[in-house]
Amino acid sequence: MSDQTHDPVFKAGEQLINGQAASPGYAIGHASLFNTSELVISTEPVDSGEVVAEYQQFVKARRIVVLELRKISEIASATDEEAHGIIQAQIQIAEDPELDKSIRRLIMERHYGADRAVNESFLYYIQLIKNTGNALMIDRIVDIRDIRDRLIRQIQHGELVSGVAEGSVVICDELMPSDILLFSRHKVIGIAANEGGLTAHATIIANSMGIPLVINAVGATRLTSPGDMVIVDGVDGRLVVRPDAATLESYHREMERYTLELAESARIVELPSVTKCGREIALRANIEFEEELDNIRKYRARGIGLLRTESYFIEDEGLEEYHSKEAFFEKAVKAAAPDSVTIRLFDVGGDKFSDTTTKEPNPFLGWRGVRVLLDKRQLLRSQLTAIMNVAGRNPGKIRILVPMVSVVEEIMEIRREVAALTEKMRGNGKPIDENLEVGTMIEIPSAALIAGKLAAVADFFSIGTNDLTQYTLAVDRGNRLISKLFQQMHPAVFQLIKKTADAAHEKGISIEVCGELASNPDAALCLVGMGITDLSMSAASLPRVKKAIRRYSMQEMAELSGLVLKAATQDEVREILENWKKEKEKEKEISR
Amino acid sequence: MLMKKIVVKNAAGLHARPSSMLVQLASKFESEFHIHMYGYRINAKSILGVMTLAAECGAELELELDGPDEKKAMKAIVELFESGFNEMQKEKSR
Repeated sequence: MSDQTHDPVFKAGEQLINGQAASPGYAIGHASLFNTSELVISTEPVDSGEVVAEYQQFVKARRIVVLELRKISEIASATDEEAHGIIQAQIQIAEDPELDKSIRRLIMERHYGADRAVNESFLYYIQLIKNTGNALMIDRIVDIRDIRDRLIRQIQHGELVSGVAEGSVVICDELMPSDILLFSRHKVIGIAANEGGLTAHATIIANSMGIPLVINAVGATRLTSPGDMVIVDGVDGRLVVRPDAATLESYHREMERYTLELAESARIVELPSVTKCGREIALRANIEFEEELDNIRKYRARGIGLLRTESYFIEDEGLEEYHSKEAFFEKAVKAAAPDSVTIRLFDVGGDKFSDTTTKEPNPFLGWRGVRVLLDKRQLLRSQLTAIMNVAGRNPGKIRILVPMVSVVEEIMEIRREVAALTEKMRGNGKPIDENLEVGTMIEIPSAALIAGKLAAVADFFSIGTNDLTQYTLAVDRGNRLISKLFQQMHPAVFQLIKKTADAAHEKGISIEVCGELASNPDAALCLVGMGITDLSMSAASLPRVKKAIRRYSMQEMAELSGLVLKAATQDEVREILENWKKEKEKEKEISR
Repeated sequence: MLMKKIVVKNAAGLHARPSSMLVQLASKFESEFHIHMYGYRINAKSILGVMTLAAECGAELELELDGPDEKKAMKAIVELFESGFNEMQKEKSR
């Protein structure tokens, strides 16, 4: 079969690609193509007027790569001396003065593009090292190549993003979290990606930034040409390429309807967050980036139920802005006032850990969250210090949340660290939050099963439903082969949540859910029904959840959760929910 | 300008870690630092340059320092070579 995709005639008509809705909304506009997967070096010469700017591009890329490496090295320094040494050497390579000279010369004198200049300069040194025949040195070529690739990727990345036209729709292969932040700065109105996952980090960010996103739109980049008119349908999960007049018109109508719906949600934002029987439900925001802080006020969130802190080293472009953790925490406290901020300690590992020197065969069952923190005390202490300094200045406004706790000892050890640091701060005459709460994430089945014991050593619980689902059903949430089994509404997940809630209530500690399950209105009803009156989610989801819980009383929702807990399958859970809601509608009709 | 001949003492030679240590130390000084070996003269503040020497145990090099703090720099660098890049000491402590 011949490849027809390069035939302009084949590309002429309307194309509908079914994908998956990942962030709601519609976007109609011209396409910009963004490719992240391949490393292709351009051989196009640079104009003489552009050479200085081209060299500056390399300098900027180098700065970002070095910052990223410093972060990784900070993590490595505490335990893995060898990895630390390798990363230190890599930083020296990136900043090598002779390398810089060579790259500058190739750009300025031979008009090479920055990526090509980097590639050629590295090739020269790699060849020389190969020629020595020294096995120890040749072994290190892999680290040198890694630096080269990081630099080239960074250069091309920046270039391509600036190639993304303002107000356009981005069509890409796969999304990185940092990409979305860059896109939002370019006022991108919508995104469609060939691949992706619903609970992937990038998806969560797109949601909170309110950028419509369709993922798993297979062939999106292949079927779209730059400048094509496209429609991103983030409600039904579709990408329409080169829509005809009729399709365009019907989508314009859809957009109007959707705008009305948004207005309705704006009305709901103003309403109090209470059940029909008047019980207040605390609806809080999950926040990761400074850019999202405005959402707290916009959606009237009760502060921040989950402040993620991983972006300090997975975010590249924005690294410099985040150099001071304390400044960011202070901003978060201010944005959340008068409510509090729950800061989750670094939850690195699995999909979030970019340190390639610690390859594990089973990262999701490996070195993650609190396990890393307890091995890397320097990292733990530096984070605790930042949090506790800010907490001392804002007593009662900050809570600490410990991720990936699977055994009681872990939370006890963190408490010991907090106590030691408190004493040190007292000795230095620093302000202290005497009642600083330390809570534990419940995201591993073992933690849910011993919740009663954990409640004795933790001040509060926060249930992370994404990981709890992953570990309960033994389903890697990033694995597309088994994505059907990633069932967040599975009765087994609900049973573990119920068990945790019961333990918290019995021991009199507070409990909240901060996973994306809380943003599903139906699931939220079940959670409230289990007595969990504190939910945290991406801020944009707050109105629809509030709308749902305002319709029912605590008793009604308790009745619903009782039914759901008896189900055998997720489909059954869904059926129970649908029937129950219909039933309730009928009751309301009759009583009118 | 100061010149001094020196022999690589550590068993593994001037591999990645010692190269990194050497460049790190040299960067603390203002003086320019070059190494002469097999008729080559490389900038010893360039880790890639030092690595391309692949100087093995017993290899003879000549250090060249030139600048306002050349004396101090030479002393520190010679000490680092003499210590075998802390490798022998580390092996003893094991």
